[in-house]
Amino acid sequence: MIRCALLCFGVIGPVFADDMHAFRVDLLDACLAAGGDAQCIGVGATACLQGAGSGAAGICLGEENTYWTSRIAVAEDALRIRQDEVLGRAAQRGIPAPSLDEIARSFATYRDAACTWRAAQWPGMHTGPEEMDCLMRLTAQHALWLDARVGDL
Amino acid sequence: MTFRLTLALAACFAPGIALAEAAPVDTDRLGACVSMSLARDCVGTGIEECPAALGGYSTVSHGFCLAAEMPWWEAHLDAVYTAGLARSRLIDADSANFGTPGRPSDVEALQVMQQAWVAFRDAACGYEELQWWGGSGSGIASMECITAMTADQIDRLQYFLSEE
Repeated sequence: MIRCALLCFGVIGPVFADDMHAFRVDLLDACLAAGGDAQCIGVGATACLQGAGSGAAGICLGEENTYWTSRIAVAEDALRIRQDEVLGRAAQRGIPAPSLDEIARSFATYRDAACTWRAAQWPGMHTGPEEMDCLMRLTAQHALWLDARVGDL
Repeated sequence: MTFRLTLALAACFAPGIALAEAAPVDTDRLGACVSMSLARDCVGTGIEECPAALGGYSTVSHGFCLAAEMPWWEAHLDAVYTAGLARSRLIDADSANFGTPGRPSDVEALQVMQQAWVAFRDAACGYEELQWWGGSGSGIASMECITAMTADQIDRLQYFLSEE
């Protein structure tokens, strides 16, 4: 991902170099703080694209994907604190208990299958941005689901 | 899953079996809603009057109302998925005009994706249910999770399918 981003940046660097067009985490943070929830998905990439142009689609979507991926890691860390208690309770009752790692694995399998399916429907140069758009949206939705579970704590 | 949850609810609230049969779902409203809005925003619109019909809002009536709406969502997802399969068959039959050469079967890719989604949904909603385990809200949490994820999957399929 980082290698790809660096490579892409090298190709369209002059267009993207302007700080005014850089990806803005603050837009996403503000949207989520205002309770935007799923409405916030794509806000950062859209603003980035408006500044940098459609040629930067892969980079802008990739930046937002990184944002949501980081958010997943933060939420998982918070949930892991209570995981032993939850799994222990399930074991006492003899019921199958999905762990956070199992959820992460099943999400990754689903995300990859969904985005491979979607990307395969697009020709040539469109494949990368479409796949990244798919990855970003699914990652964002999963991050919001995990955020809600943290809110349940 | 819906059947299992309905049975679980019935076991918890044995006198409520009649309630389950009486739980009304406004399928016209659901259908109208999903034709104009994201499926996610329509969850629950079919059971807005349901608790009142069961004697007022309570955890029990809410559970029965949720269970009553779930089959509609499962059927709607099935319809959208079936439409997706039909489209994928057309793509496979005319693969030269879609994507890169040598692309794998679109039907198989869609099926793999859907199977992976079922596994993800079960893991995620099983986890969510566990957070509330021991309380009357655990079954409700599970049903709300399954319905919400089903609606999300409908929206994703619709989004992907509407792009071409």
